[in-house]
Amino acid sequence: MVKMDLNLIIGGPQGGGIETAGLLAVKALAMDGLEVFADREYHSNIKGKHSYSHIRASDKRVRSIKYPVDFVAALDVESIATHYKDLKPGGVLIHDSALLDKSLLKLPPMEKKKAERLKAELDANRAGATVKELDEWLQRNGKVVLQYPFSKTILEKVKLDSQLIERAMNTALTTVLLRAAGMPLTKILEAVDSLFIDKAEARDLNRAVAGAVSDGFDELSGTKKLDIKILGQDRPPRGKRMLVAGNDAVAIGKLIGGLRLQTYYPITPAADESFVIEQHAKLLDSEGRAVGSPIVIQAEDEISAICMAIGGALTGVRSATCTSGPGFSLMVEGIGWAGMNEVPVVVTCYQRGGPSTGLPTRHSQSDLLFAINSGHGEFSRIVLASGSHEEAVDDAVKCMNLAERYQVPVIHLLDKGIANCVTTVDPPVFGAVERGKRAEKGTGEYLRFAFGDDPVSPRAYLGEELMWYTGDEHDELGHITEDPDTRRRMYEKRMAKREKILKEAPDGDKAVLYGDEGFEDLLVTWGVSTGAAIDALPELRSRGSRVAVLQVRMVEPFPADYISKFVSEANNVIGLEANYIGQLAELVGCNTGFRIRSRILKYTGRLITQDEVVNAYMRIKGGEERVVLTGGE
Amino acid sequence: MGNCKGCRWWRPDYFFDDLGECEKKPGIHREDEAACEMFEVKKENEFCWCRDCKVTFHASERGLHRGHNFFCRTRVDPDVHEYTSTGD
Amino acid sequence: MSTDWNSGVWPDWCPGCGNFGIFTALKGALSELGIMRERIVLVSGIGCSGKIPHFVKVPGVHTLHGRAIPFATGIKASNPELKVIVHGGDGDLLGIGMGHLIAMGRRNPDILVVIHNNGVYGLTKGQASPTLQLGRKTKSLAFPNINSAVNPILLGVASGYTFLARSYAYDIEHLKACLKQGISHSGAGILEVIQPCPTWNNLVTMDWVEKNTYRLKDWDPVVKDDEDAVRKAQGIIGLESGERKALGTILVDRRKETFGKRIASIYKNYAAEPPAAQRVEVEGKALPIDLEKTFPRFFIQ
Repeated sequence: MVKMDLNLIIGGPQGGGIETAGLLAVKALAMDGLEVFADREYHSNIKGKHSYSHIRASDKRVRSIKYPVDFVAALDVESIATHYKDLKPGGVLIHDSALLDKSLLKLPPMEKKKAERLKAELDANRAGATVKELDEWLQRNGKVVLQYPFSKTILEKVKLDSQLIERAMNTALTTVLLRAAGMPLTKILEAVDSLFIDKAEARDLNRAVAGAVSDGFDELSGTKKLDIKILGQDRPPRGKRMLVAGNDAVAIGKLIGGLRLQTYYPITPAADESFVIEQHAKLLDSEGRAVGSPIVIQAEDEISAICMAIGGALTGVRSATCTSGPGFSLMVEGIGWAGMNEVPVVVTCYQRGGPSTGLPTRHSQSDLLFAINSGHGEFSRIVLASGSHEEAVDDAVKCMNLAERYQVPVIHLLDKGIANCVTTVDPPVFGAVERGKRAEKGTGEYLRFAFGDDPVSPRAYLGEELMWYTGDEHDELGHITEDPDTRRRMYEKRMAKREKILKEAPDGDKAVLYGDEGFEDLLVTWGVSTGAAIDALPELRSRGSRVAVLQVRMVEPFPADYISKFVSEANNVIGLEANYIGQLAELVGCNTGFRIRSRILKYTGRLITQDEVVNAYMRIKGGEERVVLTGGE
Repeated sequence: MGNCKGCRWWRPDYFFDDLGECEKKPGIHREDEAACEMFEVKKENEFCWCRDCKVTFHASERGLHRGHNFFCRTRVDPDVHEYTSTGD
Repeated sequence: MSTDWNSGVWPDWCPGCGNFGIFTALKGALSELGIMRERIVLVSGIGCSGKIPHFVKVPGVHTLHGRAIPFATGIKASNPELKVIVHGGDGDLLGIGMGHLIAMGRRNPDILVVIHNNGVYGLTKGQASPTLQLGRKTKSLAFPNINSAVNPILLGVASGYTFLARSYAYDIEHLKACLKQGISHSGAGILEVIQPCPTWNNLVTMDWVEKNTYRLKDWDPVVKDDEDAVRKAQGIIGLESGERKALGTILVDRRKETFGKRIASIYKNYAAEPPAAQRVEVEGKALPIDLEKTFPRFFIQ
């Protein structure tokens, strides 16, 4: 049986419904029993600029995307121009035949530099300047082009209101794409039903459109001799699974873990998480009874968001805020106050392209060093980085448990890749929800910051006891002090937590090894890049490499001893991450003394892909030290 | 009998307790300086300064300062802003 | 007895500081209101006035410069049973914290904001604060102030506050009455307190206050209806444009829903079980949440 690893790109202009097209395809593939991993790329723009979904489907779990792709379905000319190069030999381009006469060189939303590069490419390859000419070039060069009369077919066969143009075109494109890959119409219609489950009218319309273009495809495909049966196979039934983006996963995890106050200021790519929590403000048991309900407050700015969350935490409520780099920059003073006052609060940070406003809708892993050092002065905090959607659900609960156990601010570090990529996961298994050391009532004067053998003092909530909090250095009661002895002891109390955290953390919270334990080469990585590295292992092994992947999870306090064990065993250690410096590699170096010289880095704002890991690894083996990746649009 | 300390017009310095200024007569006057012709018995105002506790207190809390040395005017050095260090 | 309300920490304000007056009136107000001590929370900013929670024997949260209001909002929204009062200086609340002051008006949470207005940044050596008039020169300024002043009462009107009042730090009975009224008011309130600062501000002296303030008379602060609200706003502009500052209750609007009520209208369980009242685990394990029932849209059919 052919190993199933289907890669598709669906592209179109933003605001034109291209997101729904991608979601429909993802749903159809997932409902067909496949594992899916889909990256959504979009501009910081509402209408007109190019957007696409890069969808990967397989029998087994996939955690990354890869090039080249089997199919490109293009809703507009810019998508053709952007992705025609991404097709593998024998790959299929699908687009509306109405686009044939359009010029590839007159695309106002396309950035000038990109347009210049495109022109140069087309000239160098003598590929022409219109869609028709490019199609012919593609076919001369081993690709298949399916020019389908979408608009014509829809208008002829379906009664449409003009306001539904975008919806219809997107469903039409996706339907033809899935049919071309071998999926029967019945399965596509199931996906349509699921996507529009709450909207009967839209569902009926989309069913009609799908049906209409599907008939047309049958007529057309005969002439094209498309014989791709990738999706036509029967698959054994699957257990219950979920389809989630990272934002969804973390929201679900937080709610399972007892979050009851979420504050936020809208920012890409974090805001969706708060919307999901808002929309699921009633947690139900199996009888449909409400067992809990969070509240969500939209703050006037990020400073207010972190301060409100801390306020909530002081009353004993599991509280969190959620942001990205620019918002995180505003929050650091608040994080410092939380560290000084031993407040259990969680800051979920989805990294995006920086610095400053950066690339609001693109991926990066460049806030690591900032996150572990956020806030002036020294205090204990935990920074935990998730490397997958499944991990993100469990880590959302874990971060709140850790925050309350050690009474420290916890930063849950994620990235745009996890935030926006949609993937199939098993429903999470619920674990512990532990509230930490609580103060017993009525035992005399309550000391919020009581000294003792344990740097963590018994905690009472506001409303239960007299207590004081202050950003100033303070005594056990919480009153301001400048006494050098009290200062020293209180400082040591706060800092002693770091050692305690490291001592008590299970190895799996610190780092996870994937692959051969008898490795010679070690890829050291974190965040969503872990997925590309894990997915690359079989191919690397088939080329004779003895390579493993070490995913670092807890980056503060840094588990130097544990990491040292792995890096000292390897012959070659290679850093892999989406930033310029190699921030994790630097961190490993300064904490363990072991210098990671070889680094694979990417800072274009696009995900590191499986094929890039393989190629870069080969280049490192060939003698290069610093490989900068540039793939993807 | 009497001295500046018991007089209505005498204001102690915040730091150098035994020294102060007089609202009626210029110059520095020690607390044990003999009363002059302007002497009036110290009155209890709504707000007084307790030298022992180093707080300004309201008449309602007089009970907390029974027996303490308190004064009902305070002297503020008009140039204090020039030599004070910042507190925050 | 208001002595029950001293925490025992030495109040380190300068002799003659208006904060002593506010401190006295606050203790009297809390004593007379009869709220359970542990249920009161004083939330303050940074500055001389920000230290007040340490001196009062109630729970206190001494937060960041300008940020008392968001802390207070988070505390109150999470546990509505707590009586939350914000204390801050004019620099803290009308400068760096201005954004939050305005935002609080939009929300109308049940919190009173007491602005200790002394016209200067006291703890950092007397720089001009947002309420110091243009052209004024206190003894601590090298040059006359080149910024014009904001008016917290007018800001309160524009932002949606439902209780506005002004008092004077050394008029204990008046200030105590204003505090009691403000604390009891259900909604967002601003109480501006004129606070002499003997160290840095030689302009706002007891004499100045005598000459430049007056007790409001023949003024009904209570808003009756929408038309009355507009008339009152216009009237307040008139009041505040005067030569002298009015002392008294300026606005009481009981028509607007508090933030808590608004939250309850969208989170149906909020009134019965606010976040602080909810148990979030059972014997150290997660609650028995049914994922498919709670998150149906994420399940693959």
